[in-house]
Amino acid sequence: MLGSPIGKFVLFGMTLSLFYHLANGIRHVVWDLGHGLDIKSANASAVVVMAFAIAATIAVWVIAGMTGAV
Amino acid sequence: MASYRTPLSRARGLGAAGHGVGTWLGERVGGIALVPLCLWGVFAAMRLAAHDYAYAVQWVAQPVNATLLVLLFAVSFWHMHDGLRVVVEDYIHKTLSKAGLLLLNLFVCGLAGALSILSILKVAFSGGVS
Repeated sequence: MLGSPIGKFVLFGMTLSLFYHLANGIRHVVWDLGHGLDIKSANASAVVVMAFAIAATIAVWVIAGMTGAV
Repeated sequence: MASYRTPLSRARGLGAAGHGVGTWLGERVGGIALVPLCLWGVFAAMRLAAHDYAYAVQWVAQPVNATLLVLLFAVSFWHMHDGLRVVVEDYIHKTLSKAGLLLLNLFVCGLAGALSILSILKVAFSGGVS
């Protein structure tokens, strides 16, 4: 089921969601520590979080492809 | 000296329950614990996807893998409970609906967590034989 095209599509989406949630969670912890709360920093960290999520997801799926996991 | 306040009035005047800090900290601790656990989980999933069923069984049977899997699932469902709880508390204001949804949230997350942990332990303790 997970190996089907739909299964892989869902797994890809879950990878993206997980990395986005992970990075945004770290962003919230940094906010809780009192850093990066001004608008400029908040906007910048939003872009960093999205870029990380996309980059990490692509990296995982490229490595998965190279190691025969896909 | 006699108090003219009713017991209910006194209880209402006490304010917050006083364990907000513990709840708040628990949410952060769970989230921070999930950072390394999730990274390991993605790494583990990639390895397992590249191998067959027998490999997966003996992989889960290794103590370090079984332990990290149990921690990943336990903390994940705890974190899921914490997150959904905040959503319910923020948006549901009718007492009965709120109480019902909070109970449902706890029971569903508790059931999912218990089921996943038992499943991991079952493979961990009986695995390797397959």
